[in-house]
Amino acid sequence: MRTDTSLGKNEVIDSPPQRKELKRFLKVFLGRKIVIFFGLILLAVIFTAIFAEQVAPYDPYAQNLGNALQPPSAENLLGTDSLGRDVLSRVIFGARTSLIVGIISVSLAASIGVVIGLIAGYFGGIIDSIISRLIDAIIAFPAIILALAIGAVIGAGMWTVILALTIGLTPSYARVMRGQVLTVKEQEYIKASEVIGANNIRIMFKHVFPNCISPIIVLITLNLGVAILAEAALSFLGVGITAPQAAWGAMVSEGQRYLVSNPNLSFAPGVCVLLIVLAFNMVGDGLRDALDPRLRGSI
Amino acid sequence: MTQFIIQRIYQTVIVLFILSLFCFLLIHMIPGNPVLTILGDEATPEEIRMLTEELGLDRPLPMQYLSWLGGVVQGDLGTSIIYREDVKDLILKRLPPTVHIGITSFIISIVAGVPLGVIAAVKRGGWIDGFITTSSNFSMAIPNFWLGILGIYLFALNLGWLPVQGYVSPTEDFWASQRYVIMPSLVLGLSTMAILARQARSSMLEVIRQDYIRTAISKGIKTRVVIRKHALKNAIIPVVTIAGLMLPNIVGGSVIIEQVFNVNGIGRLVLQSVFNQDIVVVQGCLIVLAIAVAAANLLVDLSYGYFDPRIRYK
Amino acid sequence: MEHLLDVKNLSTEFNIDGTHLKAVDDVSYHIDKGEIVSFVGESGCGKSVTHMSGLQLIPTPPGKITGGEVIYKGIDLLKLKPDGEEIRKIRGGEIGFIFQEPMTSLNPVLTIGEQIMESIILHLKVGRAEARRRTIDMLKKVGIPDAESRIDDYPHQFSGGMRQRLMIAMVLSVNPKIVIADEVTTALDVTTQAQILELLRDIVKSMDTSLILVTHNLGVVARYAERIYVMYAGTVVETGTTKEIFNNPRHPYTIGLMNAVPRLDDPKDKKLVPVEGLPPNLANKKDQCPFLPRCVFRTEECHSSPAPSLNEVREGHAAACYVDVSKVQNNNIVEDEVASSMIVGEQEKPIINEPALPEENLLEVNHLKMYFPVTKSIFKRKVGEVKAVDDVSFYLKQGETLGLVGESGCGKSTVARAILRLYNPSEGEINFQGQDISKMRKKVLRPLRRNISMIFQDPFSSLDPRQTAESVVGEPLIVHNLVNNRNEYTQRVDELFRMVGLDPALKNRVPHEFSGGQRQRIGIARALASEPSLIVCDEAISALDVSIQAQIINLLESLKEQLNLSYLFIAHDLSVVRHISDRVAVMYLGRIVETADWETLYDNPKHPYTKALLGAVPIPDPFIEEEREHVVLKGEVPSPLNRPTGCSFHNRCPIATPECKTIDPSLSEIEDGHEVACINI
Ligand SMILES: Nc1ncnc2c1ncn2[C@@H]1O[C@H](COP(=O)(O)OP(=O)(O)O)[C@@H](O)[C@H]1O
Ligand code: SF4
Ligand code: SF4
Ligand SMILES: [Mg+2]
Repeated sequence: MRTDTSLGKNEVIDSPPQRKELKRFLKVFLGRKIVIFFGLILLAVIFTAIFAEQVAPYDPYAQNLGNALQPPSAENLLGTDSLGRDVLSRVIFGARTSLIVGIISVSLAASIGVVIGLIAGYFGGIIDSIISRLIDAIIAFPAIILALAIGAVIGAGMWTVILALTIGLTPSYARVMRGQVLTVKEQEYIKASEVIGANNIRIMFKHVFPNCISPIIVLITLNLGVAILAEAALSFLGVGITAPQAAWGAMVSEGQRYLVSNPNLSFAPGVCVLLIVLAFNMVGDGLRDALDPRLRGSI
Repeated sequence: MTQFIIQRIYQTVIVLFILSLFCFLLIHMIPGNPVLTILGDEATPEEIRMLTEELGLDRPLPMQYLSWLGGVVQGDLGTSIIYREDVKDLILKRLPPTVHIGITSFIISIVAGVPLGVIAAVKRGGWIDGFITTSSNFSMAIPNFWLGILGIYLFALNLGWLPVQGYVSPTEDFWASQRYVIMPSLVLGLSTMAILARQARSSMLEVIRQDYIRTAISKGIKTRVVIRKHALKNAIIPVVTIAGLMLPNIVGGSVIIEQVFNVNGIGRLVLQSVFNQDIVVVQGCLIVLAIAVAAANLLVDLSYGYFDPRIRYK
Repeated sequence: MEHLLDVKNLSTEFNIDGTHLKAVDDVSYHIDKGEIVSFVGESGCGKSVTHMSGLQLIPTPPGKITGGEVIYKGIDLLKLKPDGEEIRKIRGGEIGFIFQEPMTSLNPVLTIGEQIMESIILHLKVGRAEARRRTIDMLKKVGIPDAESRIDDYPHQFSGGMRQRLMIAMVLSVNPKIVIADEVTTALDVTTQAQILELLRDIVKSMDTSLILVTHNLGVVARYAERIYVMYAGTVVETGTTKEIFNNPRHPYTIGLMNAVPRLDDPKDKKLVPVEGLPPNLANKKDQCPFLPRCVFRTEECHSSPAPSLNEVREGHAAACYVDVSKVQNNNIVEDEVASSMIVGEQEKPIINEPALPEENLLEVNHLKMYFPVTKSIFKRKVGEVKAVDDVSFYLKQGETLGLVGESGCGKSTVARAILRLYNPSEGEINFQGQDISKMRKKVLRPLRRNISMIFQDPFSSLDPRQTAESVVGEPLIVHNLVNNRNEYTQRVDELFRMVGLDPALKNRVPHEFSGGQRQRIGIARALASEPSLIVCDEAISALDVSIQAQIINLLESLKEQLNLSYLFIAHDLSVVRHISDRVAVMYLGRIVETADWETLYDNPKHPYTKALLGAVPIPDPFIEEEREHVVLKGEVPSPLNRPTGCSFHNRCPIATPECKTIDPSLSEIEDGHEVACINI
């Protein structure tokens, strides 16, 4: 009788577990109007990106030098750029670029990072030491500069951005996963499986992995925002997505020259970045609170 | 404590070793013959031979690394391919504005971010909390290059309060220098400030729930004193960790800020060298920045000892 | 007469996600000057919330005091502003609070001196120098050695027992009128518990301070309390003087508790009578007797009436029950056989002719050593060893239960984990069914694991929260290929559920949807699944409430009989070990210091440590406790890093002689099967 197990651990709940978990999750997740609001924004952006061809009023690449640098009007809601292209259409196609870069790099980083973290955490010892130092090294280094270095070597372009982001984001997954595994591994239910005679593979995938995954899901959401922000910055610097492909960061940079006459050239794509990143962050926060109340405020 | 310091120094050295390896190998990661890539197609065989020799590319890899590392340790970072100038001198010339803006923004973000987070936690649920939380959410999502442009548009072009671009050293003209530095520093530090505020808020909320806070209250101490004396000291510890992790952010952000505000610092040097494919300069800047970040991180880590007696007495 | 503290109709609620939790429901009590009053009840029954409400220490929200008065010196404390001057003067200054968790209740970044001085300066209005002087005095009074130098240390530099002394020093340094001690020894070992409670009692008695002793331990109540309030589901169900309550308990719950705990002076064959059913759910309470679902005395009237309120049954003795249980005869209202045994008090276990134990040992541990290296710095230089288990030998036969007792940190769990090869033993043999498994490769060992299972301490962390109860229980069947198809699997899992008294219909739930006791049953079902011959129970019931403990103990005993199991039963609770074990081994600092059959060990202990341990366990009977001599073992368990030379017990041993510092005694047989490691017996 050493632990006073108070605080309501004792209640027995009657509805089946899955439904109950889901109910609690939805209740918290959808309980906050702000999360729903940004969730809808995200859905809208994703929809727009997928159906960019159908949604955009014009071809984003069609130049019309005679119609360059027009202010917003009924034909061109956001005006035209220095080559006479419709800014709204380019903004819409920019969403596609951002999402593609974000999704590819985050999926790669998450898959690699999770496996690395799982291995480091579960096996420990020398493998762990090596991986941990590598993680430290990458995290200690500014991701933007890493991207520049890669750009210097293989030139600018979407794949440079993706490669750099993957390298830059992988350590966060590895680190979180490793930390989770170290915690979970010490739980008695892992010892219990070992005592039963379960082998490493079974323990790792049946018991450790499922108990580590919640913060990873949250991190994925938050990192989509981070990746989009970084892609925009790199494109702004000219190391990222190159012309003529539409990318928000590059559009801000192009517009910078016409800041006084046509400020909307820079403003519009910037607002888009802000909105989508904000949306990912808010949804990520909502997910974190809903998935695991204990994580509230972490990461 | 000594043990903690030794361990941290050791880890820093390992991290620097890995990063130095990466910087060194950069040149070898260029697809094909790096010399050809650097010099372009019209290079004469003579030029190629000379550059190969200069870069030491004709020697075995480990030898190359060792001599390169030896150079770095002695402050010899090679010669720029484009500017034909000593990389060390190039960097030293460009360092002051970067350091100036970087340190200013780091200080601003701590001095403003931490108290904001603490206030939000203490007033949790109220409108102040709502305001601070919302602002920090926005601040983390705003692309800093865009915010910089927005700032220039508003404060320089429209209102004329601040200079548009550029940098003036404080030794040259102290007050002018502040006018040049304030906006870049704020823009650079904003997201760090927001992250620190969030962290301070959540760790404060965490601490307030702890048993020892209940003990303090049960002793009859005023809430204000409980917060200041008992909670703050504990809440600050995780904030210090995050502050350390934010350093690379500041350094990376300086590339963007310098580009936006047209400041001739290291960040711009890196960027220009990337476009020039001046790999030697890129290498040099990289290793210098890596050392700077690592050293600053070490300092932050060591300050733990000050904040947390559990580390001091280990 | 006016009471020092008079609480009337106090109610406190917690409002979480729309459900109202009536944590305290119309509770009234009083405290007089200089009294020691105890609040007993199982965890979650509202003891802590009751006392925190009085000082407005409840976190609001989610908590809310919904009614009542707390009158202290003529003032209703609930009417004062929560952070106002007046209540802060009383909080800490007049009424002190000592909390359960010594490890987390002190601020880690402030020196202990600072934390104690803070109180003194605040409430006694003295200068820093004077406060420091008083702090040092107080530290000496609570038995902190080298008080002058240790005053500037931080909490993490003290052990759990020491930290609880610091808390006592902090609270008592300002001469409060009332001290509330909320489960202050729950996290501590028996010998430390005895030290702390004796200290606390001596100090409050010398200062004429009243002490509210909140606990779930009936023994502690019997030993120290003068009056009692028994709490259940947020209400006081019975109150009276300690002797009166123990002599003449009138509430079915009080009776149930008393019959559920094993005692050091029980007849061995006493069958524990658990309080069946689950602990109450405080959410959305109905106006009905809260004990009704678990009560064996209930009548029609209980079903149809509102919750009973306290009724005086004798002068100063009140119970909240409609039935006069003292008049209930064996057969009129009694519903089942359990109830009848409750009235008789104890029931003889059917005497079965125990089958003769087999010749050969099922498990034989020889000279087991488990050392953990202590490394320093990054280069993992070894600077020492923690000798967690240092030369331990014992055996266990099929069908036998060996109890392993000792205080926390003495190496019990390490022995268990080494046997299960969760650790790789440093030295020694572990012969299980004739094979030495101590050095066997894990791969080779895996199939053998079928025959050894384990039941863990913590029913909350030992079950994977993401698996259903079915897959938890079925995992051994799958791992060892014990079933051929889905059908067989389902059947076997259902059978296991029934064996441990769980409804197979619950098997699709995830662990957190079960109560603590139910979870432990799941853990037991998992341990039984592979039909092992040996089960290692590491503190298997320690985390459970007393009424549930009895359920699990009875289950383990009946399973053992049915399946001819052997248990290695590890626990720190000596009464429980006595109840369940055939033979017992006592450990101290990584060694076994005494071993014998249960009867010899408890009736005729020889080693001074065993004697001290037994003396420290309070017996839930105030009359016996009055007679007993309370010898408190001095000092603390030394760190296994620097074990004292010679007999490692010599610095605490009451009968140590100079030779003890140099001679390291080994176990020697003093009579058949009774071995002791001491040179002075
Ligand atoms: N801060 C809190 N928030 C929500 N519920 C609480 C809180 N504190 C206590 N409770 C609830 O109040 C009830 C009584 O708890 P407590 O007084 O701690 O019991 P005890 O001290 O008798 O173990 C429990 O059901 C518990 O869940
Ligand atoms: S009132 Fe009835 S149900 Fe409640 S404790 Fe008494 S006998 Fe049992
Ligand atoms: S050997 Fe000496 S010190 Fe050890 S238990 Fe016996 S008398 Fe005590
Ligand atoms: Mg309690």
